[in-house]
Amino acid sequence: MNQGKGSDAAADGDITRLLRQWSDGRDQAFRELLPLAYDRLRLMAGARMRRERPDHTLQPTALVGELYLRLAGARLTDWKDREHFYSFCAKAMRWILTDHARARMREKRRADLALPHTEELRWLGAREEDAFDLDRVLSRLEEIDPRKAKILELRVYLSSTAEETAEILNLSKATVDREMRLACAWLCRELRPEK
Amino acid sequence: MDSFWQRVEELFNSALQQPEAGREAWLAAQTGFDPEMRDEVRSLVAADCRNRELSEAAADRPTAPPPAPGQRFGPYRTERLLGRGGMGAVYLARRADGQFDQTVALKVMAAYLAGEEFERSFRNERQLLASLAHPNITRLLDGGVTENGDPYLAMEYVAGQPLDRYCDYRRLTVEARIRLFLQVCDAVEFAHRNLIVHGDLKPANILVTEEGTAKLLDFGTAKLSRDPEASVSQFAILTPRYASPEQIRGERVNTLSDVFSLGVILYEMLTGAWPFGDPLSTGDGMERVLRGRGATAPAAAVSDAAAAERSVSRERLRRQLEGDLSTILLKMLDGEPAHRYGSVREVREDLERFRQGRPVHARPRTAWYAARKFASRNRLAVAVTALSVVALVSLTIVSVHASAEARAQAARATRVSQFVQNTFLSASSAWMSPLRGKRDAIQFTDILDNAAGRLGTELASDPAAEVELRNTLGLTYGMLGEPVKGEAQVLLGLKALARIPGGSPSLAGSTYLNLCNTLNYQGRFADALSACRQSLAICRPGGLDCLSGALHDTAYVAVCAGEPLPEAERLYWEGSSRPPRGRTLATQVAIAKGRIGLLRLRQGDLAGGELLLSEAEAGQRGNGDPPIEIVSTLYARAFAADVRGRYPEAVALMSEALDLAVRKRAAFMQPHELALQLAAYEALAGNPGSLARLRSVEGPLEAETVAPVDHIRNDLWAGMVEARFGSKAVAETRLRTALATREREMSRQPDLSVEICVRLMELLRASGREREAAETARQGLRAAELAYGSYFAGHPFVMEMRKSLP
Repeated sequence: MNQGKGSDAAADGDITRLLRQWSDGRDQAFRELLPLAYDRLRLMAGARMRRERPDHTLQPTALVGELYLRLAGARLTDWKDREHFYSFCAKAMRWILTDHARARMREKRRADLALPHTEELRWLGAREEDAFDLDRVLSRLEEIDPRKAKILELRVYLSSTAEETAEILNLSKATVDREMRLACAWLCRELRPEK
Repeated sequence: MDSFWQRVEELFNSALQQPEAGREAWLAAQTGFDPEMRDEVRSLVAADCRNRELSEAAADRPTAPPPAPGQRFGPYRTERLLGRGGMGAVYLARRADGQFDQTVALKVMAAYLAGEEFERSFRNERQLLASLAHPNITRLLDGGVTENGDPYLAMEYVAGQPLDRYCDYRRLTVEARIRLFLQVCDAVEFAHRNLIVHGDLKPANILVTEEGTAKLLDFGTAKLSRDPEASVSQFAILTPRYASPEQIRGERVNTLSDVFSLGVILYEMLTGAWPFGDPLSTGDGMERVLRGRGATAPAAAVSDAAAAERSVSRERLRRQLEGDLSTILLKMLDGEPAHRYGSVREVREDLERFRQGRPVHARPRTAWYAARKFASRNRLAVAVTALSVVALVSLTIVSVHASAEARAQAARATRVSQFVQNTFLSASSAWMSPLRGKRDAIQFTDILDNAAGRLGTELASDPAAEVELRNTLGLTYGMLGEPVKGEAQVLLGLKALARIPGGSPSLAGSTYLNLCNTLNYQGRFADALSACRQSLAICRPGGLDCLSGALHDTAYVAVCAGEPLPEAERLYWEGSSRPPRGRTLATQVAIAKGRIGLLRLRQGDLAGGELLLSEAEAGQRGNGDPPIEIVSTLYARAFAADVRGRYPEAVALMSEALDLAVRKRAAFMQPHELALQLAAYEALAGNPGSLARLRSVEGPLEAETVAPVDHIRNDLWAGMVEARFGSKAVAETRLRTALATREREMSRQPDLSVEICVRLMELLRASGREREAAETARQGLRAAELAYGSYFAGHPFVMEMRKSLP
């Protein structure tokens, strides 16, 4: 009788179905979508926070809570499938973090909310301006090589692993690893230029 | 991606494969006369290397300096960090201006939140707190802005533990926990009296001092309840675990949201568990909260560890949490604000009544309430169905009245579809409007309300169309868990009927049938039955199309309303020859045979009942995938097997029935109830797994059961499982409750008492209480005599009970 507890695959299938319905204008689908996506997002946010610097202020659930609100405000975006959804989540995270970074730079205040930890980019976020610059630099990479920008976005802002990213984008893990390596080098060159 | 970049990528990947020593030469050879390309690749390869170095270096050292104490905020100097929350940090601070020695909790706004909105909310908190002088609310001492413009609040410093930890460390009993919780209620009630809604109540925001005084903190998200815009602000940080469904949806918060949060807090204090399942998978729980699914019955949520932390045995804790406490908790946690306690004061008063052993005001769910609950749980599915129903109305009207008044109908169809279109246009334009700032989704009921409001004026010239639409609205409201609104629509429809020139019997028949439906949803079975009979009286004479539905619904409601079974049986017979549109005669006959078969069994005619049921089953299995109605046939056959003591067969039949209902996602077949019946037969067959099955369904069942007849059966089946594998005391209580409900509510269906008496008698006999067993057997025999008539003599239950007579 445990109908509610589907496997991950089933839940993802539901996410895809609900996204379609939502984009087709079935408003209620959004309501059904949130709880399904919630676990997944919380997991990601949780992973983020565990690996994060000790000075974080927001709890994982709070982050997800904010993400929720952003999602709710962006319901008219054109969704196609799961890829869109997770990419959208990554974007939402990116907005949240960049907004905070921008606000505190304007106010000349110390960083409270840091960028998440990414294994391949452990130095990222050590500087106050990183969160803000990352967004800017990513926008440039988007113009040159959108796929690498998307991979970086998922890996950094959603803390998704290489495997998860491969699954979300329907690529092989080898491809994601290869693309990630160049993307990281590019990012490092832009954000930490040689003296 | 341009070709330059593509080439860069290729060379970058290949370069990494080259031995480091020869890499530069290799690259020069590859890039030839393109120095730009060479520089690009070279810089990227170098950056790849640097990235690794930086990452390794970063792994070794801590990246953030600890928060610096010793900062001045006005006259205060911070000493150490006490905690951080969504809104900022709280420091232990001391007055440093030599005026007098005072320790305070200094709240400083988090830097990243800087910005107008948060400064406003900071000022807001200061203002609100200043107006709240109460022993259970932290006092605001001072507040101001530093030279740098950082706002701060100085508050009474409470040396204490968060509520949940305080209770568990001290292993407080249920009674002590309630006493403590009453202090919290006092504080929240006081805030509400001052028109302040807290909005973020949780154990971490409630500290308890060494002396046992609870102190409410953090009014950072509090709202003035008279503020009409009070809702979750754009940046509000949710604590989903304690948030009410309306908060999660981003709707207005009010004092009733605090009642819900207090409900979660009390539930956790008493049971040690989150009311909506596993708190670690908040998603599942959120879904339950959002869909208004009921909380788990408190007694079913306790663990051994939780019992130990409350200094009692698990069994004892379970018993403490049954009855009034459970009723109080579930009322606080109702998904519908309107069904919660109206105020924290009412909560406090009921808890005090409970402590004094006086009857509490909260009532267990009424049938009406449960019906609503059931409908709201299926709200999403229903809403979609309902949408299409409304959209199809114009078509239906044409087809129902096709030949007779074709021309008038065509004009009407146009008017109706215009109306439906307008309804959708207004709804969808609201959906499509720029949504920044306006997050409240349009509720389906909003669309209905809007439609209902316009009906009277826009279709005033066409009463027949108005009746049709009001019927649809009534039905839809009913399905959406608003049967009272539905009833109002149908009653308006009846009024409009009188304005149809020459009347329309067929429309009148279906309108009364709809009235029956909305009343049935409210659990008003007697009223529903008289509405059904009205419909029958209208449809019967002309053999109108509504007759089939009227016969079936009247029979069904008659059983729910506790009418004698033969009447229902006659109605099913009459309906068996009148298939509704879209159903073959053979299917209709098979369905009727299944229904009548069960009624025969209940009247003691086992042979006749089983024969009818096997014919029904054959008809339904006919070819291919059986229709969903076969589920009723299967459980009726299982019942026959139970009566005749063929338990493994009963188990097999029930398993199939349950599987089918689940597989076909037929919520209206009430899978939880089927599972409970299965558990009962499993217990009879000696399967200890039946207890786990009972536990997994009893919570949800309590919320969905509407009709007394279902309550009686559920108590019987649960009692059967408890008797064999659970608690004998609980078994006896449930069986005796079933008997009492039967006497009170279903006096004209004595058969319901027979099996209860048999099971109770067995239980008493097994405990050596022979005299009481004999007493129960006599009671059961009296019921059997009334129920079985000429089938009394050879009935297995009768023979079983006779064994207990001295």
